[in-house]
Amino acid sequence: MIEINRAPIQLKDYQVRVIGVGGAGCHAVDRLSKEGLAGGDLIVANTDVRALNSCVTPTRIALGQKLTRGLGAGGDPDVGRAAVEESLDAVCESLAGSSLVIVLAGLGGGTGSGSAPRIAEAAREHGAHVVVLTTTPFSFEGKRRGEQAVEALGLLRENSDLVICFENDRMTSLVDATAGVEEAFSSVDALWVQAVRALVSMTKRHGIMNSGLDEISAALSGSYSTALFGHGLADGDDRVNEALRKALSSPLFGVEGEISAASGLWVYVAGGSDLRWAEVQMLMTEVNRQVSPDIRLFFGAGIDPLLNGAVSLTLLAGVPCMGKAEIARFERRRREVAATSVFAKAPTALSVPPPTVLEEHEPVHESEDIQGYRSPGMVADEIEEESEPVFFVESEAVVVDNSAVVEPVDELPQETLLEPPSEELPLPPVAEVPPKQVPKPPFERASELRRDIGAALLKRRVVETHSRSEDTFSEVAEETESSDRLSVPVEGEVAEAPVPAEIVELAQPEDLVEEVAKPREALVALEAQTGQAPASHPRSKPTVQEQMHFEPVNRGRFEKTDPTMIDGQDLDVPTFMRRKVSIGGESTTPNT
Amino acid sequence: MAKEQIVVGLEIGTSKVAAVVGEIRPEQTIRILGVGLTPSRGVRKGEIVDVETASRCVRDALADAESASDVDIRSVFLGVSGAHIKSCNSRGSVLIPEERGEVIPEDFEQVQESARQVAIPQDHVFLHTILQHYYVDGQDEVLNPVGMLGHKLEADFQIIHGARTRIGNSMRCVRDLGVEVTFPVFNGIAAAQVVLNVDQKNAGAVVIDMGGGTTDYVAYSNGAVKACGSLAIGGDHITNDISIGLRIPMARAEWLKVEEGSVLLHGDAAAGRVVLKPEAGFAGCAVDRHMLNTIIACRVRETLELVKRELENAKVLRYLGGGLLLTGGCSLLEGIDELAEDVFGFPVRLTHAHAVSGPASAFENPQLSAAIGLVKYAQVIQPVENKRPIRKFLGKLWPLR
Repeated sequence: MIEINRAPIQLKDYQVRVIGVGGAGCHAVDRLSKEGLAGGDLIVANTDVRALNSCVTPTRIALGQKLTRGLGAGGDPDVGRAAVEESLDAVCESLAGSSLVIVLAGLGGGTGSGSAPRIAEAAREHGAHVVVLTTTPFSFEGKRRGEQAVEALGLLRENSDLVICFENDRMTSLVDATAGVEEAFSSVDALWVQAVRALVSMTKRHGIMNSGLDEISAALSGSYSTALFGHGLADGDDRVNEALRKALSSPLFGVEGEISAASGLWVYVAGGSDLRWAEVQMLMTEVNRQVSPDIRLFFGAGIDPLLNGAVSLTLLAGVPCMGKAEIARFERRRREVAATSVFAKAPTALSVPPPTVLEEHEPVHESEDIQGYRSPGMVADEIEEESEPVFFVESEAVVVDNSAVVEPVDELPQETLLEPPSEELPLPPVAEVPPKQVPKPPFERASELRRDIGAALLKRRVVETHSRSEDTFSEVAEETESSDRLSVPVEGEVAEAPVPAEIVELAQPEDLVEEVAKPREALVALEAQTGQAPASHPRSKPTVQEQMHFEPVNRGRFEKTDPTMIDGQDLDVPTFMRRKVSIGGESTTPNT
Repeated sequence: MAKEQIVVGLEIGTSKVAAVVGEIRPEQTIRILGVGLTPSRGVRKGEIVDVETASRCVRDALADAESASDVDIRSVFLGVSGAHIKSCNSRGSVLIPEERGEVIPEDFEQVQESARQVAIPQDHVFLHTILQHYYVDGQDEVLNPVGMLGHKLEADFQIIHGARTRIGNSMRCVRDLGVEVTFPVFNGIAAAQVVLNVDQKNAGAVVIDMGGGTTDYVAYSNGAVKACGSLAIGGDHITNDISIGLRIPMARAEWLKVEEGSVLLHGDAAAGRVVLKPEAGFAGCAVDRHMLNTIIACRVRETLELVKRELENAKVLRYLGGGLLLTGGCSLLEGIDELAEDVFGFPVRLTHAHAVSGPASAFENPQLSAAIGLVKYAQVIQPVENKRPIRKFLGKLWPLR
């Protein structure tokens, strides 16, 4: 008998760590921890202790407390660098054993620009794949900060595997001029968060067509370009085009037409099992139309059962911002740094063996091979949170993963799925969601409601009958009045409604259907019994019923144009008709 | 400015496309060399709805103007209109560095930039940023602040903006023919250039240009534009109202409006009937004049009331030493000045382009006010472009190039 080895190949624990460095980085990571990020540990590191204290992220590292006395780096990258050297042990400890480290830093200041390159370097020394997400400062922040950012960016490029750089100046275009500062910054954070989610989920997802960090890296031609990032989620008939439109109009996706200047583009589309080939084809045709023909295009597609009915599209494009010579110089420096870090520096205080240069990329590729169809893909963030921990942490074979993914489908409300990922609503981590406290069993609640409605209906009938007998003219008014009251008892305030006790008594839930359907005579009799029923609505003054015009409005030659609406009036309709000006008798007489 | 310069103003109106070839002379006058006028199609309410058809009309008009003036048209000042055009007042301010302490021309650019930091819809573009007044350290009404000592330079601007795509469509129509658009100009501003003189602008004046598809209005106060805007109501609506009210075809209604139209409801103008002759496909009929006038008057009154409300909101109706002037095709309606006086409560004058020479038939036609105004506008900004850097910005900030 042939033995089939079903024991899954053991994967090295693929640990993702997201570390926010400096003010901006901490903000973004804090936002992530508020919203929850599945499959990654969050760390904040800052020189400013006050800022750290306001963070909710559990792992907090105060950088250079002796040096800065916890007061921040004062916008000086040298201070930031020295601070991280002082606290390097703590940083290394928190990053120990990571396979992928995502560094978030806003460049231009002291901590972000000074510490982030050193932290990236440290992470790489310990064998992690390092991806850096940065922002460059607004141009109004001054030339100096800009220069510091450029310098730091250079260092980061040397010390990491991939740098994705967003320009803050781009973000001004997306924020409405009237938006509050708070709102503006949080929308910027939200975009960052989206990008992190994309990266994290990418390392943990399966796809039909694989796509990974290596491809992203290639699309961005290493780290030497400005990254344009766009994400779109849409459903419905025209979902593919809609998703593409959303992704292209993402604020970080550059100004109109900038995509045509991109040298590389990474496209990842994910959909439910109903994702059709024709749709993917249509999408890619459309994408190709937007970009220059000789672009380096990387395409990945994945199926996520949770996306049933929706399509999620992620675009990452690289617009070259450096000349070839400059790139070569950076590449050389990077190799040098990597070489020295491997052979000269022994890792401090960590048990992880020193990795070789080649091995730096290993964790990702290895895991990809083993998992076969695993592919990155950014899907609705909410979905990831719920599904991911299940299938990745265990690192089981593909089949197991799928079942694990499918399982939560029923539990996940459809609305969550369709929510745009940029939604600011903080999503509590799955574990923290308390079991829903339903105040009453549904049946009980429903019957109660029915009773209430029943009572109201019955009352209304009685009132109507009564008013008819009393004053026919007041009928309309009464009817509206009673229907107004209809809403009161539905809210469970039966006692407050001015209904005679007998009527309420009659309208018990058991026999309410029959009660409502009772012949009219019975109701009249009932009314006779109660006697004082009409006392509560003595308004019997005749109301003038307004006439409704149902004739179609004639707009003549403007029939097919946008209406010119002013004060709720369609000005394309002749004035004399709107103002009801009599233009006198027969308008025209036949010419004899 | 030693040489004459040829400038072409092109207005793609709802009822007609007008191209005016004018000559700008060094002594600040202009002479009309030729006019091309064709009925317009593919335009509704001042906006292009059919680029191809409209483009054909533009080509015809430009060809007419070329043959009339014997000039090869390469570029035009394009008039744009439509309800999407909006305006607002904005004040910009810059702090002058302590060590400098005086205003230099570069500050103008900055103060204009700062005034442009107003919230306009995302799909809008700046059409004009018109300077109203400077203030230096709060000192009012500074005419030319260069060299003045101060710490803070402020300036009020009238900012006119419109929808990018709609303005772009108008420009497409012209570009498709291989003709360049030098600047897009709001029709109302253009018309005001030839209808008003400097004194009227200083004393405060309002120009209402009732055209075919839109009614554009511009209010001047203290020599500067204080408010302006465009309503998507015009002569087209009057024709439509007549057609619906009298149940006659659109072409007949247009003829009635142009030939017999009046807003007078009393006296001879409103008595008797107009006989429409029978033609193929039209039985012919007699129309009661009173009825016809009522329909027209209703629409015109309403339109003017809407304009009045806008002007009241902008608080410009109080000091109108220069008066209220009515121009555009609709101003040809009999009795419209009386009706406007009734609406606004002060004298209203009908007017047309002034301060130009050339064939009288051209500039005395109120329909051509805006098109001639475009030529004048070109003249107005020309010297400024050389002297003051502030207006150079117009070109730089126009993103539709």
